[in-house]
Amino acid sequence: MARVRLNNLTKHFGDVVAVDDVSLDIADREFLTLLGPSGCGKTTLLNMIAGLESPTAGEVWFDDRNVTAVPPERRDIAMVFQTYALYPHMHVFDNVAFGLKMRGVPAEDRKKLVQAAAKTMEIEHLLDRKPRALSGGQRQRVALARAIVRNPGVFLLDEPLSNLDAQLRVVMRTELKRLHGELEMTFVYVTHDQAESLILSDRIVVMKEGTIQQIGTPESIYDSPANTFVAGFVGSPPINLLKGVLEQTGGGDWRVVGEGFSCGMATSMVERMGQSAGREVSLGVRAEDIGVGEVQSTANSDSETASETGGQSGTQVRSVGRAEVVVREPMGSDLFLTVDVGGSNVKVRTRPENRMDRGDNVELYFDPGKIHLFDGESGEALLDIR
Amino acid sequence: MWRRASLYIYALAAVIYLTLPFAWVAAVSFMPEREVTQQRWWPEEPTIGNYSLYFDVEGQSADVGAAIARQFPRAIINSLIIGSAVMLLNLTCGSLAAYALARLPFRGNLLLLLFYLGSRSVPGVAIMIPMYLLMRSYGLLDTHLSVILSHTTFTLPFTIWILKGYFQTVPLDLERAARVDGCTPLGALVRVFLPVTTPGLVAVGIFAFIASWGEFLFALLFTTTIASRPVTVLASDFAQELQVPFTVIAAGGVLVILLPLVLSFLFQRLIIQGIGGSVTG
Repeated sequence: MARVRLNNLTKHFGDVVAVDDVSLDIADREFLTLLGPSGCGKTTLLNMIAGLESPTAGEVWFDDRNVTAVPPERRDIAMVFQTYALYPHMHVFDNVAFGLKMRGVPAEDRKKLVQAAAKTMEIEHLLDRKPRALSGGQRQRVALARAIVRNPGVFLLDEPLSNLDAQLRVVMRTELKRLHGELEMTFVYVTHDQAESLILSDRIVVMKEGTIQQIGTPESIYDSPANTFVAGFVGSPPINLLKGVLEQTGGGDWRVVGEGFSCGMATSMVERMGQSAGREVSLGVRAEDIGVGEVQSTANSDSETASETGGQSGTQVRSVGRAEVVVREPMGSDLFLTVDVGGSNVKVRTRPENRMDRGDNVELYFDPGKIHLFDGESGEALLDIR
Repeated sequence: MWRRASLYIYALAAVIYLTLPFAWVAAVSFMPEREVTQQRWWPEEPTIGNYSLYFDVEGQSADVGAAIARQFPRAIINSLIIGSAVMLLNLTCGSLAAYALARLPFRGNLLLLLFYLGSRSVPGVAIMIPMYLLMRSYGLLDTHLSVILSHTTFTLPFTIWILKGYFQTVPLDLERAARVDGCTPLGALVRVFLPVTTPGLVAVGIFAFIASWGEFLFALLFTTTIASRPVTVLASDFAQELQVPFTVIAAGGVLVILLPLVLSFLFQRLIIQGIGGSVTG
């Protein structure tokens, strides 16, 4: 059990700033994920929590203890590496028992603890094998057993699933979630896989170029991304971003108008933003918040009712524009359509029964409660929908 | 099919080319003297008489070459002392240097490595005289230490070079895992890094030993009496006594190559792993 606090952590490698002034408070028994593309500093940050890298500036605290200068062997941590890093010259039993041995646990107790950890990870039958005789998934389980056997306060995981094949990754993901539920440990998990982070975490820290972009629960990160980077990185397929300009019509209604589309905004929303007309914005809308419908023959397309807007059927939604289907990708439970809106590609998730195909013209509907507005220049979010 | 067959034929030819001289020396060493003159390939009446000369330390044998042969056991011990010391020095200095070169990024490490390698290209003869004067001024002539130092000079660059490459194949995460598991930096080196790199260490250790065992020039230069003369130098004495039977010389030759041969066979798996292989987590 441990609460982990990072105060203004900074790490330079020569001229490169790997981690830039990161402060973070990780609660006891929390599952916190550091998420970002490769080179964003997430692993360096994890290594500093472990004590494997010493920070250029800043402090690391475990509960009320400043561990900044404490070497890893005297921090109460365990770590799982992307490459598993099992000791190839030792049997699985000795691999798991190694940390206990180093800490002077008597042989009798070691045996009991290893057996218990092996049972948790379901590797009891592998204890007398060498690591090279194990499959990737089994090695992963051994690495996890080696980490949990010491019952550390902080459990650090550095992309533990990325060397597994897709099927096994799903299994081990569930296994990790179960482990976190059973063990009273603080988990700090590094990944570049946004799906993993959404599924596993209590909170996600999205990083880019050594700085924190956003901290929040998976829901808040997904529903209210702080900027276009977070919006584009979290979620699959990535959010659709369309460049546009905020305009006020004669009737006083606000719209975002861009190449090939014109999306109405609730006045209250715009007022909350305090934005003036003519501002350049990026409009973000996720594939599942877009509906497609047949092109209506009536000229007055402004008064159409969307029949297929996801989750919003029945409410009055106006078409934002017409688009041409470019790609049709059936995925079993869903159908993804890529449509061309004024030269930009927009991905739409719809029901698999939909028969629309390449070359068809469609009417697009955005769920007005689910659109995101970002500053056209900085990419920062302009309003919090929730 | 033909590819495979030609590959086997090539391998067989290489084996014959490489081992035939040794096999013949070994065969001759078991022949009575007269059979050699009959140009036999195989002893008709095998004898171990040629060897008895070498282990007749207290003996009174007045045979030609017996005086030299009698010193062989002592010379083999000298070679063993020198070879083992060279091996140990190579392993301790070499592994520490290679570890630093492989793991610690410091200014000029590539330059240092190239310097080590460059020092190998200086022919021994070029520094023979200065080395001799150096040994003389330190009073090391006719001691094991003089030979040990000169052999270490020649073997260490190769050792560092090979070990550095081998150490770099050890995943960094392995030592990190050991640190997290409770090892100090030195503990991680001793408990995880060194055991994992055993094949590489054994390989360079044996190479250093064999190189030292077979070295002739500096050993000849620095040693004068049986107190320090290694077996290669002693064996060359046969060349000065014209009457020594060829069979006896062959037996001496077999004794000289026996130990390196046994070592290579015992550790061949580790040597191949150490030179061509890598460590995987």
